[in-house]
Amino acid sequence: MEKLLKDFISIIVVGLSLGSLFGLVGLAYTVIVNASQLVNFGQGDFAMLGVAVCWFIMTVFGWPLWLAFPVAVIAGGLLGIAAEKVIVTPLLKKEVHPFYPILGTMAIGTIVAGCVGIYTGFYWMPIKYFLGTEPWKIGGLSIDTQGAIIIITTAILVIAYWFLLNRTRLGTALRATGFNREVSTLMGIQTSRMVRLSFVISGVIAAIAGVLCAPMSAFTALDGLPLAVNGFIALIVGGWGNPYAAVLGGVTLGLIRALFTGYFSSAHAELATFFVLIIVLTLKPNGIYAGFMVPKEMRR
Amino acid sequence: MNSILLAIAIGLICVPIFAGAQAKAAGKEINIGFTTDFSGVTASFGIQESPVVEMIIKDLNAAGGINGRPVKLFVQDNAADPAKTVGNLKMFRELNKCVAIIQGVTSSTGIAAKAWAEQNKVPIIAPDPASDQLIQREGKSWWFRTEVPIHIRMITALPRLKALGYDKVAFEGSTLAWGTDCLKVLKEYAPKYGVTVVGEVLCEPKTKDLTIQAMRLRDTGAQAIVCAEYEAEGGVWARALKSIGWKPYVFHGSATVFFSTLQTNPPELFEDWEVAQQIDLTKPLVRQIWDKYQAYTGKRYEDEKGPRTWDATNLLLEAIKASGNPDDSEAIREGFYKIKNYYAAVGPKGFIGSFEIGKNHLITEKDMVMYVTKGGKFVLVK
Repeated sequence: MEKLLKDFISIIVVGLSLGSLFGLVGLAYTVIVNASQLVNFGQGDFAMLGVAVCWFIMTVFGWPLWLAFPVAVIAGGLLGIAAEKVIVTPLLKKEVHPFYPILGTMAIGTIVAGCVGIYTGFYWMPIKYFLGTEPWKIGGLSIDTQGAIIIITTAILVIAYWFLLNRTRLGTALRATGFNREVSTLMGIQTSRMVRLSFVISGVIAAIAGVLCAPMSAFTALDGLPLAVNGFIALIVGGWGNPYAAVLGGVTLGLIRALFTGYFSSAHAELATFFVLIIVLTLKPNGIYAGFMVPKEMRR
Repeated sequence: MNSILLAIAIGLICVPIFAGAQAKAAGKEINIGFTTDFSGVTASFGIQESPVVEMIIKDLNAAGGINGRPVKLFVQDNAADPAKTVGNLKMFRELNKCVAIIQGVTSSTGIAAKAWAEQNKVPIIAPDPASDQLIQREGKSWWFRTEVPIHIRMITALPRLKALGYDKVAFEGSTLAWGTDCLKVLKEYAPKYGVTVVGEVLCEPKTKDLTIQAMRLRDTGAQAIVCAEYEAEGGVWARALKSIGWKPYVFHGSATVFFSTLQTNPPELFEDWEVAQQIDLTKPLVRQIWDKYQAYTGKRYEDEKGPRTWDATNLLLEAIKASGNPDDSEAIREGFYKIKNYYAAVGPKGFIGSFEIGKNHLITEKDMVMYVTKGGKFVLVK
């Protein structure tokens, strides 16, 4: 019985760390969705760029991780600005179908992945475990340190994002832009800047997710896509447009995958993810946590 | 008199024309196709191997080619896609008039290429695919390789496991063909060596955590593990074993993959893991190939890929020379079976590689060399 409980807790911890990763990417998607009603299909490649910059700085310049990481995060933000300035805003100004800027973000992501791939030869960009490979031992349980860092960082980022949205004027402007852009413009909010800010925040979050995840499984230039797909599913499962729901959706996905792997089959965890997606779309298309932390009067 | 003069004049005119035609035939290029993965999940293989092919062809042409005829290389990307591979092969044959082809990387593209080669009667040689489905057990083959078939790696592992006293073995591998093929072969051959496969886990590519899978295998009572996964998962697996505090004997099924895994993960995770290589790391030719590669590209990879690709390319050129007719694909295919004195880079010192009916690969299990990992380096097992 004790062994069963220990195994179950281990599975839950694994699920939480994986789910937090998906939730972070889902959060990154939601930030842009809320500000501009667009989806950034290059999100995974933003994460990959964070890994590439971190690895490049550590390998070529010999900088330590604690210096390279912030630079990678800044790079993610800069890519967000580039995507917004080069593709998104110019297309939005032309009042084209929303699909076109979405396609544009995918193009940018593909170009970034291609450039990184050409430089690296599509070879691995390994980043070491932040705190070494020795697991933490807590009450007879072994806890992967990188997984724990992912869980803690996700919690911090979610709290920070909540604080930004609810306790700062900037956050209020962001929320207003997402809620109704026309009225926000009339109220004097520079909505184009809010859209740009959303891309920056999204790029930063994606880069953080990428660098956190890279030590667990070495990244190549092509590994942004699987992260992007799982993050997008987290967004759908949790609830479109609700950042906290996206994170919870990710955590739910991670837990279900871990339970499926632990008690059924390790070969088909990806299948479990899409199975959950189908069930949610069928039974609760708005998402499992759609109303989470949304005031009653604002719930649709 | 006039007719004699006319005959002489005609003769004098014909000689340069004839000589010119001979010279043109002598200088006529021999077209070879090269298709491998420059993109896709196995792009690192293709990108690492292609400089070997290029530098061999360059050196050959600088030395005068084959009987005065330069070799022209046509290159295309497979993207690890069988359909794209076949498209490239068609283009090589119909558009580029290639008489023979070098093909990499994956077993799935190899299977498609082998079928195409047989239908279209164009010989292909490949440095990589490992699937047992690519063995030509009867008759002459149109498809050859310098990589060992999977069952040979398993046959090398099983007696070693038995000798070390491990008769309960578990398997950990990829859900892709490489992993599932290894598992199938392991299960087929294990009973012949008195070894029981007590558990198995298959993990998806790019999986981030294998702790649960490691726990499951530990609970089977397995004394040893045979691994057949790719680079990213190798590190994840090693960390999972460490995380649960389990240190079984581990045999890795692919020296090439394991080498890459060692480059991208802390070496202490893989201490005492064993692997069977088809190259002798101390063989002078192997070291020469690595040195040449480094001089050509600025990078050094001390693993099997370079030597395998070296042998694949040189065997093709030897087959062309042995064919007697470099413009005839069928003659080139026969040329592969005429090669008897090729000193290969793969295999132990002094190894002479050749193909035979029923054997379209070079190495057998007696030519494999067992290594153990110490401090991130391969050390010969005595």
